[in-house]
Amino acid sequence: MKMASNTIRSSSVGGRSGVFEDLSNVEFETSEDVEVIDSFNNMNLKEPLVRGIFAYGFEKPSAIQQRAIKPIIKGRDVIAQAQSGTGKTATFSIAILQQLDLTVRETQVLCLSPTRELAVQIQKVILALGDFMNVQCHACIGGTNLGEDIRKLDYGQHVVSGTPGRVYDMIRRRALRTRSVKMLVLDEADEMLNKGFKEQIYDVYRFLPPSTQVCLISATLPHEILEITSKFMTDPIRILVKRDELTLEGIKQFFVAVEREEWKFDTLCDLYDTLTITQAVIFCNTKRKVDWLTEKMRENNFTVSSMHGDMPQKERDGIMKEFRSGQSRVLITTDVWARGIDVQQVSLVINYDLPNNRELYIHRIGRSGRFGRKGVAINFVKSDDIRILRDIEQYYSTQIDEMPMNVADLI
Amino acid sequence: MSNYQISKSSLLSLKAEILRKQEEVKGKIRVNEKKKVPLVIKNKGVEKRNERDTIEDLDALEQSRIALEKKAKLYEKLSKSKVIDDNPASFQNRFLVRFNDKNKDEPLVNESNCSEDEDLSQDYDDPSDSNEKWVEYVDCLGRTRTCLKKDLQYFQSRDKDYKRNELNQEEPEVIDEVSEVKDSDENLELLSDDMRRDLLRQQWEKEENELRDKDNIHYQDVLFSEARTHGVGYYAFSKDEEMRRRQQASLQKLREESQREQKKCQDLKIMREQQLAARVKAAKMRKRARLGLPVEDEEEEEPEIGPSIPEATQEPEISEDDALKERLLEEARRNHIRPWDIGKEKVNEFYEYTQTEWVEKKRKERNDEFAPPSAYRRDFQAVQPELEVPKSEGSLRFTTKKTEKINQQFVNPYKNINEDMQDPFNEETRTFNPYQPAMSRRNKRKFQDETAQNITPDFSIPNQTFNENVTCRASTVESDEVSQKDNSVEDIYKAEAHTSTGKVKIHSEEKTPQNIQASIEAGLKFLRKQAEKKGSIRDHENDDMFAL
Repeated sequence: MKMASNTIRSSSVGGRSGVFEDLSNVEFETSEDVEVIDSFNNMNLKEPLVRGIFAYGFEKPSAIQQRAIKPIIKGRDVIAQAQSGTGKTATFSIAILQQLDLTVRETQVLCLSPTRELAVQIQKVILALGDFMNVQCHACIGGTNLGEDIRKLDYGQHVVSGTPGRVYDMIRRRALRTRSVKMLVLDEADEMLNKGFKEQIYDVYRFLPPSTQVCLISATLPHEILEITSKFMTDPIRILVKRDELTLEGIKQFFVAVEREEWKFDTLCDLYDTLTITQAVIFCNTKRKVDWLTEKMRENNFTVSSMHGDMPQKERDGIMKEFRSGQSRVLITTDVWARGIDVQQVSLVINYDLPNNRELYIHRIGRSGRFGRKGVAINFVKSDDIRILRDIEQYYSTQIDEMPMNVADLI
Repeated sequence: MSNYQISKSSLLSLKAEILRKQEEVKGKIRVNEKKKVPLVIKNKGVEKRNERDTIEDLDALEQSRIALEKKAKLYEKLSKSKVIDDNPASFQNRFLVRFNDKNKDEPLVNESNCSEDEDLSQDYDDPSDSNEKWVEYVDCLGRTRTCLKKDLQYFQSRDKDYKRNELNQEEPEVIDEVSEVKDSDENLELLSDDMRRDLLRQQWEKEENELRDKDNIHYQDVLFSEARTHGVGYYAFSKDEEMRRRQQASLQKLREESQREQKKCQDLKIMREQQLAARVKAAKMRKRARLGLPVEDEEEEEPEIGPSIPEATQEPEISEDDALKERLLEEARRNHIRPWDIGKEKVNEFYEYTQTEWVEKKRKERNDEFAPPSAYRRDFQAVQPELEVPKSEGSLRFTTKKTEKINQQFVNPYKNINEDMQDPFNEETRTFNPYQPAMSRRNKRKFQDETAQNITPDFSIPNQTFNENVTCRASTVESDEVSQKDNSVEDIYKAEAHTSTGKVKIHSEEKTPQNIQASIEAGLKFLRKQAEKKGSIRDHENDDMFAL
């Protein structure tokens, strides 16, 4: 009712400065009092957890890990933003594992992500970091066997990482008991609180005990998302990154100007040898285009795999495994792959189509250059797209040059 | 996680050990060069890059020379072996280069042949003279050659010998070497990509089926041959639960053992240092005695022995004030009710007022007519002028109000923020559907009821009730009344306007609401800072305890 909309109100009740108008003018800043701890050993973590961290390959905490782990462990609500591939997932995973009571086989932490692949990946990270602790973490995602899900949950899981739809379903069926849940983590929080997902998040949230600790994690946190956090968070600690520091130095960004759409394909074929140096991801804007491009590449005898949301889950699974194991080198996909997926060997991202918004650009190019590795992003732009690219360039204060001939040397 | 003092000798021996191991490994690498290709073909590009990064100092030229020599030898052998075999499985057909044809095209300059040719040519001067004596024949390598008729027999017999040699000795050798390199790879490398993929998928599927029946799932179970670099301490535990437990136990045992050893070393070192110090002291004393000086006081300085124990970080005196503030903040956080939590079971919809807050609230609600006469105020002022209401307001109302703004913030800083945010908050509770501005009102009602039923089946209080509660919490009567009486949008906005003006009246005694909010925020930040500082100090303390 009140939401009947902001515009009405601001116009009809001119003089009054409501909270929403206020917040839209407020500049959200990183909380002033964030402590920095520059070593895992100084974080007072459980010993098996520390061993798990080192075993997974982390040696020194990244900037976000130095700042966000402690407040989460302390039980504060946290909004954490950091550049892609700098260890955000590990940040909250470590904090989760530190807080768990492993003697209680009940779901204590609920972790929601926008895609099934990401939920599975988070499960993997939690299992890896908690390998020495023998933690139990279940991936509760759509497209899988319901009965099996119920059985696994029944058996008792410390952490559940899932997608909102299936998790809500499990809660309603009382397979997922929420009474011991102490923490809710929203990975890729801006996506989760966007129009499509917000309602589902609300549904799940309504089943959690009041004042559950909430953590929001993402590389991009637009202002309008920060505005609504007051509805389900209490005096959160904010760790934010200014947008001109959001692109990574290690990811070199280029563009190839093409006059016509058809030329993109030829350009891609020319680049194929470069793609297969390590691994590459090619982004299209629609599922149909993914299918089309895959077909066309195969016709021309190029080996590629492809994945999008309309494929059966089993197929998606298989393709993910192939790509993760390095069996396939080139993946043509949609934005289902844009956020969070971590494959170390990916060093090249191609935007066959430019993304539909600025945030997606950051996420897409962030599939390469994982945790300090080098990466290259190549954007195919038609003449009328140049404008969009320049906008992105300016918005993030970054540099997108024309692709040099020796691009292979940069990978 | 403790700190160790590492002695030089142990470092040196460690280094020596490393060198030795490196030598060993180098040797081993040569031997293992022809390892079997695993099912999973590694990403060669990455490996190559790694190699480039790590072993740059390897003599590349030397390596390539060796490789080339080897290749040349092999090539020679292959081309010498003249077996024309139509069997497709034969090893010659495996190669893309058709060595047989190559021989036909350009006869190899075979050393032995060459020399013999020369010898022969010396014997026979002018072949053109005696044409009829010359015959053509095809030698064992398929070459067409000419010779004198009388020598034909000799050449043919020589050819036979040559052929026999080739077949009996060289050929099998070549086959062996080649097959050694190729055969193992062949099975897998010659698999088409699709087939390999199928094999892998089958394997994964098998693993997944096994997972289905497992209760405890661990990292190894979900790894599915992912190409990922792990850290140095990575240990791939067995997928078998029993085996895994044993592995973990033995790891634990090893860890304890090394910790014991470390401690022993440490103790030994401390003891040595103590002995050394004692000797030095004794020497010093002897010297003093020789000089006839009195014995020095012992206890003056006890030199630090052993690893300096990191001193507990100086705990700056946390004033009671700060502690109190932190406690209040904590409590405020606990008492805070999130809009999305409203309506849940056990959510305290009431805000618990302290006595003063309650009095304050009631006083605000009071009709001015019933307030003590303004004339009383002067007396009061005479007693405590500093507690007086700022004159800017212009009214001469009696009040026992203390310096309200500051005090309230102190008592419950968090709530003050909420008070400032009260209006949208009220509305929300009424709509109960904060995220769909476009929804029609009727839909919203429905949705509200649904959620109430779905989520809190035991929640028997009608919506109206908790609306009331919440509005009550928001501490303004006007909006409360209006919201209950009439829900029409216009009226609510009117009510809002009303409320806000009311609020402004309350606050505007000193500052505009924005200013107040800003100052409250500043206050909050300060409090949090203090609290964090305190927290961090405590953490450091804990660290030290662990270090010991």
